[in-house]
Amino acid sequence: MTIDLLDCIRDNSAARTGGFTGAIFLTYSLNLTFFEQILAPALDEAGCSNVLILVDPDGYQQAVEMGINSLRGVGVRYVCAPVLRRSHGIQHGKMLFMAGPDNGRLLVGSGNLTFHGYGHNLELYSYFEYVSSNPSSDISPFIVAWDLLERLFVEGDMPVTARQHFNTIQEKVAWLGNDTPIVDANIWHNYDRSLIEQLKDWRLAHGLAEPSVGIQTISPYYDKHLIALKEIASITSPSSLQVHLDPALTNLDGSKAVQEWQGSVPRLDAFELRSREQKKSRRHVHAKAIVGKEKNISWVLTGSANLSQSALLSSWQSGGNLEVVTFFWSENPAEFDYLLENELIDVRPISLSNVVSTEDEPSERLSSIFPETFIVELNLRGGRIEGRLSLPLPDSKADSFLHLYRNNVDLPIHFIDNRNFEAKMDIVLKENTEFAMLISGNYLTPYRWIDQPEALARYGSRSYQSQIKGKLETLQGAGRLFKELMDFLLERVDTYPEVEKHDPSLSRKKHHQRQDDDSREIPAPGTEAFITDEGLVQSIHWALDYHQYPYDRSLLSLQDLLSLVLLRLTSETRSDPVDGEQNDDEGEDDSQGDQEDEKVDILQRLSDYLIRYCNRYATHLMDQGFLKSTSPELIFQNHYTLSKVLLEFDKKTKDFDVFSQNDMLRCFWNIWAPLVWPEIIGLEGDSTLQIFAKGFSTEQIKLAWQTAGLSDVAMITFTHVLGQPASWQSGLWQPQSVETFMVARGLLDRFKKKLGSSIFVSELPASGSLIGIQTVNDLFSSSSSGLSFFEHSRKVFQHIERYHPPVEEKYFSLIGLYLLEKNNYHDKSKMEKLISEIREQELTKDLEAYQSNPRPILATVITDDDEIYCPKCGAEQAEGAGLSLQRGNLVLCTYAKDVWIYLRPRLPKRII
Amino acid sequence: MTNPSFPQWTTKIAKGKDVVGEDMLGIEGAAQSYQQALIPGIISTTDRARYYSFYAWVLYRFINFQRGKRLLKNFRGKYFKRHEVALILGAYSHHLGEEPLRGLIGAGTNYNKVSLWWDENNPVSLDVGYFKNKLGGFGQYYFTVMQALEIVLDSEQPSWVYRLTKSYGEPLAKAFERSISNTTYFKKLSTSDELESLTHKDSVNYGKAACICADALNKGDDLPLLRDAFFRFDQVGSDNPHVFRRLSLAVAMDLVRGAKGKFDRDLMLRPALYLGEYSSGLNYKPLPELDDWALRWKMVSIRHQYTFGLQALWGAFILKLRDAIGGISFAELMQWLRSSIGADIFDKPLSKYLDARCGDVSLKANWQKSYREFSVACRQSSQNDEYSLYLLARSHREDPDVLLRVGIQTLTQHYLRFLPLYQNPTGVWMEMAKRERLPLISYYQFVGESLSSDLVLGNWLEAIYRDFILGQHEFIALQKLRYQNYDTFKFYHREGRFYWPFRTPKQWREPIRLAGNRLRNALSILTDLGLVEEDSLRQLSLTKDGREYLTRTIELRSHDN
Repeated sequence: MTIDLLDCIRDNSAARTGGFTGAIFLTYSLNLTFFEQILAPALDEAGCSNVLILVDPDGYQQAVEMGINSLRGVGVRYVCAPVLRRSHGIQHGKMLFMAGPDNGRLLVGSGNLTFHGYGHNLELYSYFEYVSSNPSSDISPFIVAWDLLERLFVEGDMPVTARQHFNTIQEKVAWLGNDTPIVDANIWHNYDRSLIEQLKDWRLAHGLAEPSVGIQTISPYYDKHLIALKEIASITSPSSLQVHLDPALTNLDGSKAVQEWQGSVPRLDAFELRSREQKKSRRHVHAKAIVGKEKNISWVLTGSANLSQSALLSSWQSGGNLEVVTFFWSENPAEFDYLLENELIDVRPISLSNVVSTEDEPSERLSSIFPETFIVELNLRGGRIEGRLSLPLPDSKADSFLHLYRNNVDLPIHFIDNRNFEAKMDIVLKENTEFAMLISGNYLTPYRWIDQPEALARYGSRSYQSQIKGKLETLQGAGRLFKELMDFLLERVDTYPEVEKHDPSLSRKKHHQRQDDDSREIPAPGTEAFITDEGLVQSIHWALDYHQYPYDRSLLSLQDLLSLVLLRLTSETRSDPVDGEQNDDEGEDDSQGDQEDEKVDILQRLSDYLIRYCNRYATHLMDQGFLKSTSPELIFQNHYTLSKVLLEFDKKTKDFDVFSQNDMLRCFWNIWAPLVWPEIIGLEGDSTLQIFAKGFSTEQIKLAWQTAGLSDVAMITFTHVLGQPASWQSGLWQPQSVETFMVARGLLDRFKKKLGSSIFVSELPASGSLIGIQTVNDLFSSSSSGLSFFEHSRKVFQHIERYHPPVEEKYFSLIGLYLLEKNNYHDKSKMEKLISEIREQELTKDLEAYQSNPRPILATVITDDDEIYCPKCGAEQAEGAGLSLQRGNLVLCTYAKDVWIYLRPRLPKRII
Repeated sequence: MTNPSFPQWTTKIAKGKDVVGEDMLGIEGAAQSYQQALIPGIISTTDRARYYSFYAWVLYRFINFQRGKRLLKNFRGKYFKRHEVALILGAYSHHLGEEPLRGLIGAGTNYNKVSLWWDENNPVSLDVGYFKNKLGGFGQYYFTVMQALEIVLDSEQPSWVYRLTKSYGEPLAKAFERSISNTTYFKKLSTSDELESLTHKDSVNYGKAACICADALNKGDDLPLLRDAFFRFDQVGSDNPHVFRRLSLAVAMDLVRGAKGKFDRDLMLRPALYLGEYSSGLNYKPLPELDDWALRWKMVSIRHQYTFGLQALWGAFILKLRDAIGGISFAELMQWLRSSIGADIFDKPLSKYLDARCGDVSLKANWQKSYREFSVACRQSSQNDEYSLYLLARSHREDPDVLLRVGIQTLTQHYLRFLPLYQNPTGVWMEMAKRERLPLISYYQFVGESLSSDLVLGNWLEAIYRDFILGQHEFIALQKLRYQNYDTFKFYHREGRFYWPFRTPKQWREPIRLAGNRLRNALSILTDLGLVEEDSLRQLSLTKDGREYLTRTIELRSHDN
């Protein structure tokens, strides 16, 4: 098992109800460019509008230095504040706390908030989830983590903006006020007690007085004299002690370590840890862990703490680092063996003396980048910048000013007291984010970014629609969004009376009533249509440029969004190759091929998902409880959307071979049959319309049906999925197709019976919104080929409505002739017309046989035991006659010879 | 089952394979998009004219291929590839024993694929794997340019195949078909719709008529139509992409004309545009009617040279990082820069450094007084011009000290050379100079500010490295990670230090090159079209038809104006 931190941050419920609302990071080093480019969109997906990053001053200054020209959101979209040091210890904890009104998510581990810490190194992370409605959810890690954050705010010198952001996040999370006593929480920190003391206490509490069987450690960094390691050995007295490290990332000097360990017990064995992945780039092991094996128990401590004094033996209050770790134990002594038996890593014994130090331990290399006097806070509000210094300026305050880096302007400042100052902001910032330093004589403070509380508040309350931006950017994200939206559709039970008035999808539907669809079912036209003298179409590059930002569209109704998602997943992408001197066909082809593979993989998974979804949907449609909690309006709206999604998915994925005709057919029956005829797909119970009839009048149901546009969608869907019935000549040899069309007609008859025979009569073309967004160009213009498509669909649909099995179609005119004669309706011209039709169909022999022996023409069916009986006299038909009947011929009853018989196919008991 | 909260190893968030890639600073796109506007229909990967008619023919056949039902899914894959592989075999056989034919898509580097197919089988299967893209070179490169030339159109419905235009698409397809109508391949194709293999004999026979080389095209019926499609003499107007292409082709021909039969596209194209001289003493002066278009192409070169200056500095950094066990901090990088170029230069004011550059080319060592003459004074004879510096860097691509010196000198001389244009910006200058990323005007503004604040060269260089190079690479790599899921990071920045991210030192280095100039592709296409010819010394000159086409373009230009 491994953990993908980016996936953990994304949240599947965000598109529905807001999911999470805030997130707080704790980190030592920091790369805000990485945060803005990669993590911020993921947090957007999860709904986190208020983000706070608490960082060691080292990380803060690195982030400023590296991002001073590129950052776009700091101070306006999120807040980043340094955790000021109490002495020499650094803020070394790495944690992400995501909070929402009903749930929490916590990540605690060894990786910093940088590309390598979150996405490249081999790190160890623990993941906790809390759902307030689930009584078995463990809240204790969240309470411990929150308590730590609160103490940083209560006892530390935090900027006001950071405090406000912290409070905003807290206000939305009522469950954090839970005062359940915390026992054995899996999160430890060393705010006021060292980790080693906590470990000692835990061992004592669990009666672990005997020596440990073994201790295994993973750490890149160690204190110079191995004091922390010695202390661990001292309190656990292990029989074996192993250190695991990445030789390419460690401060351990092997030969010195051998000397330091002399006289200590047990023997210190070293192992190298390396990534097994055969990639060009190297993955360093930056994880930290201590695994203890006792006689009948095992435990593991992992997180930010290296094997150093400042991490393990001291508390933050007493001058050590601030560390956050997770602690787990198990009665299975081998429980944590998986950590060193993972497919990602290779473990090999090495000689300790051969280990060469590659760098310093973080605590040892902390740079004194923060002088004693620096800007603690800097806020822009109401045209003024207000700031506060950590200490009064060493020299005179005269001629002090604030230099704004990106705008390259100096603002004179006015000191309110020794530390607080303000400046009038009489310029309009060129960019949202700005950095400033205070200059006073020869004294310069380090740069600090300006927090803008008003912009932060605006961003914190931005709309749901902007949160889905991130999802549409990548194929993976679009795939997830598709599922989320579909799940939302299934679970949607509340009715919104105002929907019609405000739902942009409905207004769009009306607006586009005259537009229409293409269809895969319409065969491509003749060759002449492919050679055209139309003008130049918009270049594909232009379209792709737009495609990258489809969310700029203002209409993002559920249906449109689904359309866009499918478009994102299926549009062909052609990237412009790099302008090199030498072309690299194969390199470019490979990278495009990889993207194509990824696309196919995602679409295949969505296809599987959609099939499962339609199965579930079928049972929902017959769930009395579910249907009672909703209304025909809502169900029919959902039905419309789902039908549209199926149509679009089928059309847009035709090129990818992921959704077969059978898949489409199965989905089709699953969504239409339960409405009126559930038994045909093997479901027992009342149909949807029967259930609705108990609470709503037929008129109400009919109105909801018509308002939702279901007749149009039925017409297009039936036509698209089933196509035109075959002629009787072909149909005779396609029994499966005959069954399909007989069931389809049966289904339509049932709809008509429930909702009136004219329910499918439509004067206007089907709604344009059924089309979805077929191509990138549709984002800008509308299709004009709708009318012909509508006409085509209507004609095909009418064929399905009036479908007869092939043998009835074959003898349609002959039966007509018989009926005329039977009813003594001797209209010569009609009879001549029928006779002429019969001859045209080359059924002259049948006509002559009938005319020579004009008996009634009746249908019969084949029985379960494959016998055929005469419908009049009940006699079993001779074998030869039976075969002829099965070939679709008319046969005179072999017993009484007083009736012409044809074999009508039976309706299947189940269609899927 | 293991407790899901138990600690787990983290996976990489970049799920795509590690990509080596080029343009690690993401700064080549500006010139690329500008060139796309200047010469629509020709991109850096489309340099053979015959493909424009060949692909039209394959599409035309498919449209008329009954079983294909004109559905895109039936066009992609086997159907398309069989046609393209047949062309590869034909072209290969047409030049057997000669050096590999340039621009033959899918043949493999130095024919490594096609020669294997050829050597191992007779007949050769047409179902060999040669390209992942199901539409081969058409899908990968030529589709969009053929759209620009109004040969093909996008499909009307997603499931339908692309369309051919009546004006050019269909006639080109038919003309190509006439050109190959006597080949045995075509005759067999006519009776069986699709062929699954091709004999060597049929390939040779097909190659003579269908090859993408100039010889075969010059005998083909499609040649006149192709010329028309590229030049579009029927089109006029100041905002017409066909006119843009025609004028760009005219600039390419004018460059050939100006060299009086001695044009060497490898050595002369770039200096002629950038410096206004083909080689030392041989100047390029555009025809007056083409002044503005020649300037536009000069702007492409100006941008390329600026890009190269930054890439040289980036290349120097990469070489240092590669050898820095334990990484390198920014301060250490600055120390190396100082020692490499010398403390006296590093600590010298930038203005003094510019003075020295002027002095080097026999101008008064006062840049403010001399910069207007710099462009004329600093040419190839001095060996100090930016193009000569580029050649120097190219021959010392593993030497960080040379790359550093070349980078600094290129960027500063660039400023001196084009400061007059920056100070008196014309529309043409602005078309290119404001293009993202790291626009030229931002750089000129930055240098101007550095000079006015009397910055020393070292501080100027520090800002260049921080803002134009390291920050830029990180930003671009993150963009690629975000949108394409690729890991293209060329350094690993951890806690204030940069580290080499790869397993071995040889894994990557900055390719020392100038970004592609599409006039080079235009010259190749003009050669295919028989308007430019190449002699045995690979020197280009205009053919009789070429001179006529140039004259006609100039006349139309005068008339249009």
